[in-house]
Amino acid sequence: MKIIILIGSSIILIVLLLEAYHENLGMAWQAYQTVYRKEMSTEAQNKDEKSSTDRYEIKMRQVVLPEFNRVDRCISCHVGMEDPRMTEKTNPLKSHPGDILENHEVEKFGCTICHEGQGRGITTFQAHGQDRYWPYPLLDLSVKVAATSESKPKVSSTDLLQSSCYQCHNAPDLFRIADIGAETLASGIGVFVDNGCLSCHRVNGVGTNSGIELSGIGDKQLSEYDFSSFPEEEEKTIFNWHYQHLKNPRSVVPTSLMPYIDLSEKEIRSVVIYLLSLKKRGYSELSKFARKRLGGKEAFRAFCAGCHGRNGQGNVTIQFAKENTVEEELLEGKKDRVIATSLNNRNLLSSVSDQFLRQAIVNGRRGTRIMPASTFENTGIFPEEVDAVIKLIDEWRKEYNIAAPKNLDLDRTEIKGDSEKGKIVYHMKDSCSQCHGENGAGSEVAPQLNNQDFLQLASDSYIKSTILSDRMSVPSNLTDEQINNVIAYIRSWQK
Amino acid sequence: MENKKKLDAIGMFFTNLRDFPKTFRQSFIRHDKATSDRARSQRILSNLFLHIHSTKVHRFSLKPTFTLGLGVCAVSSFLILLITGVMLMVYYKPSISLAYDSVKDIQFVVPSGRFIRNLHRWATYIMLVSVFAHMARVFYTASYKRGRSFNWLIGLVLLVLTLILSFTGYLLPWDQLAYWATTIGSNIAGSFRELTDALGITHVLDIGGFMKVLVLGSEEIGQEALTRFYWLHVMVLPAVFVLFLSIHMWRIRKDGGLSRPDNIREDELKGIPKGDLSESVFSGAPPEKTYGLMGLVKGTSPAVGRGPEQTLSSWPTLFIAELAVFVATLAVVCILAFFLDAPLKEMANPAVPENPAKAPWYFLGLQELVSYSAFMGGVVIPGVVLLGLGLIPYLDREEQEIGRWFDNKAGKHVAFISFFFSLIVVIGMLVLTVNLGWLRNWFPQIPQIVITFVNPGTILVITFMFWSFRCMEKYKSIRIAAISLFTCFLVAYVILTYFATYHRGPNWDFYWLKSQWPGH
Repeated sequence: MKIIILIGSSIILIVLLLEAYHENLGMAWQAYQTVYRKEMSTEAQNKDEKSSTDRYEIKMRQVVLPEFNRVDRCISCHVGMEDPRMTEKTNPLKSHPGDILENHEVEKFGCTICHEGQGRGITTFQAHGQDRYWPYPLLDLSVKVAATSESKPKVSSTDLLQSSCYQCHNAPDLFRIADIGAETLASGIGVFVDNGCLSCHRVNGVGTNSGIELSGIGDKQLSEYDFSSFPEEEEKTIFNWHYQHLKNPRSVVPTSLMPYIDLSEKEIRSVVIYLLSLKKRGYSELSKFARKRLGGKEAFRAFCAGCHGRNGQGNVTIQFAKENTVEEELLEGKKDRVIATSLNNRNLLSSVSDQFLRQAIVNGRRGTRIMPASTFENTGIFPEEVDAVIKLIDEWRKEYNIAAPKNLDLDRTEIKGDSEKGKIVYHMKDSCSQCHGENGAGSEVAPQLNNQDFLQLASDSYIKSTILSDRMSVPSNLTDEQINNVIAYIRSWQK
Repeated sequence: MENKKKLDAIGMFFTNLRDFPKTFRQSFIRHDKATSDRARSQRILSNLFLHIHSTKVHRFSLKPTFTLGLGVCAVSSFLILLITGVMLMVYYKPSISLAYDSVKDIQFVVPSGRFIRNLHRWATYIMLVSVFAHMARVFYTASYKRGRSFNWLIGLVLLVLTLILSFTGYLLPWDQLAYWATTIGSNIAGSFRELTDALGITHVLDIGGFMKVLVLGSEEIGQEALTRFYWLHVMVLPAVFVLFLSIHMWRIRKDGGLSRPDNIREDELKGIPKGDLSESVFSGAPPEKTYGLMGLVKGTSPAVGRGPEQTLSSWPTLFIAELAVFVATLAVVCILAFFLDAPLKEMANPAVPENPAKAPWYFLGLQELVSYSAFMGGVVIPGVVLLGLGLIPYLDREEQEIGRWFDNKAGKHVAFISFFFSLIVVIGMLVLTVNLGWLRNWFPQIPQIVITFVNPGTILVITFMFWSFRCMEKYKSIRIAAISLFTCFLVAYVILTYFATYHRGPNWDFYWLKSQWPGH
């Protein structure tokens, strides 16, 4: 019995002593501060400086930031951060590079707001966020630019840091980022807007939600990313996920409907930086009210180009990968195709009036994909921008030397015809059904006619005028009565 | 005359001052040096904490292989929990926006905070294991008999309190582990819905909904639940626990001390110290022999001026034994706390469920049953088990010798075969369900109420009951039936807990190894 007490007590004593040392005495941050104090001591110029360095206390240091809901203890190890004499040292004693601390004082901002990591931690492992349960490791680590990788590092750490700027510098002007020296981020925003990403994605209230919501994508944790189809040889980091996804969407998300966009490596990198910068953690979102207004071409590129093509050429099918040809895409099955009307062509430009265009744009149109209603409430597009896009389309007409068509929707007189007879005409060989499909279902070469939005918008006169104006290859031998019958048949699809 | 008195007074003053250490000591320690049995008794009786114990203890109670010190181990870990818990309370903040960060600060910044938190976590596990083992010890030595039946019930109350204490504490770090384990627990509380839905009366009588809101203080886990759990964990339940613990120990005294056999051989007490009182009066005589002329009553001896045979003063032997157990417990907990950190995952995120979301380990066996039917596995079966445990001393009233593990050869044999029976049946059940699935896999449209009543849990319970009845018939003894039933459940609990811990992965699917889990 007594021997148990003896052994047990000794064990307890030993463990307690070890513990006292382990957590209180032999800490790395104490060692670094001691080294720093010694450095300062040797660098001391005179007696006054020397006595003040002697009074330098070895203690835990922190910055408490209630507005950010953070506590940053980085300065416990990184003691020399604000000391200009420490520029030659190695980390953690090295002073902070650049002059960013001049207007980003450590006491006001802390460190993790830009660099991520776990501010409360007090060991390297914990503070740098290497614990797998800390969702926001140090930015460098989220990329894990491995020194052993053969290929060049995909992104530099200064570029990566720019993804933190946007949390505060999301002021009204979409492109002001460039003024503060975050060029990569600025170019990323530019590429994003210019390639029609907002046609399918939404960021802080601007854009559409055909694709996934991107506001706050920068907050997504590594464990929330799906790497199951990720290429084996690439390292599984957040940066790499986005990089690969932009490079070749289906290699990461096999069922993705995101088209392949031809971007250079530099451009892809900058867009990923922008995506990573979209963090919501405690910050004011970019107000969609205060956004800079885009011109016609910019607005078209931002909101429409994703489906209708950069130059309005439309998409018969969407190219999903650089390697795939259109034929291969078509073979893959109808369900993967998204047809978006070609806008920049003679036939459409000569038959569709500005009024019709405006109605279609503002109301939206159901189809193989839904074209959302382009209102400020829905997609954050300004009415002036809608006007500008319509003006742009008018400019396309000018390039073809086409005059703006009259708005025939004003003429809502119903055209009378026999829909049964019209059905026969419609389904004749070489007639409407060949391009407009069975029962007006549409095809790659001609729009859907049984579309409810279209039928509601288009008047009979408009349909007749389009038929008569040789839109696509309408058979030329139809009599007026036959055309009226066809129109009645088309009307019969309207619910 | 006046002057003399004054001088005497001043002299007295300085004498008193000089004598202060001795007079203080005498006022504080009111017993003599422990050189006689009377002095030893005085020591105990004059101390608030020590006088919970009796002044004399039977040598058999000090036998290590008898009690294994499990009760003391449980109390020791409880003490460690109290002290470390109070220390943790200095920095912990029970608010959902502050809790997680306060635990992080305890880990990182508070001097030895990591260690204290680990001590708290490991003492919990040790306490739970020793509490279960203590219950098993008391059961197998039939120590619930001879008037100790009420104390057995108090012990069950303590068991339930321990489990609830552990469960409420689990939520406090407010991390993913905590949040989702509590989700499971609160959903089990709400599982009455399974029954009322099947009967179609939920809109009239929603016991499940009521229970869940009672537990959480709200429809979902949020600040109300955290406040409530904190209140229970640091104030209400410890107070109730200490109350019942006092009753438990008081009853041990009133029931005549720890149980012991009627006939104890000398060799059974080898190695245990003796006292002046320990010798039997008739030292030369064989222990079993009785004297017809004297008409000795069982268990007492006609001695004058001395205590019963085989007893000795509690001071110091009993306290050395208790101290030894306490120190051993503390040493083990310290070693574990130094090397192994208590887990802390990401901050609780209601939008991202853990998959698999697992209850704390001592509930995992239950969760395995809950995976078929929350109501049956989470409410009914535990309720039935608790009821069964509570009824043991009232159903098994056979008179027998107590204080011996498994009583006798028959008991040992039955425990042995019940162990293997349960092993085979439980593992067989698990193999069957893993490979072939259960009712839902074979008949996808089957109503849940059928599965509520026909699932591995209910089948195991019924099988075990049949087995114990069979044993009862064969041995014509309720005690034997009790041994077989208890053993079956104990083995089932251990196997199910192990199985759910190591072999259940995401979506509660079966995996041989954790490395095979998909995702993450």
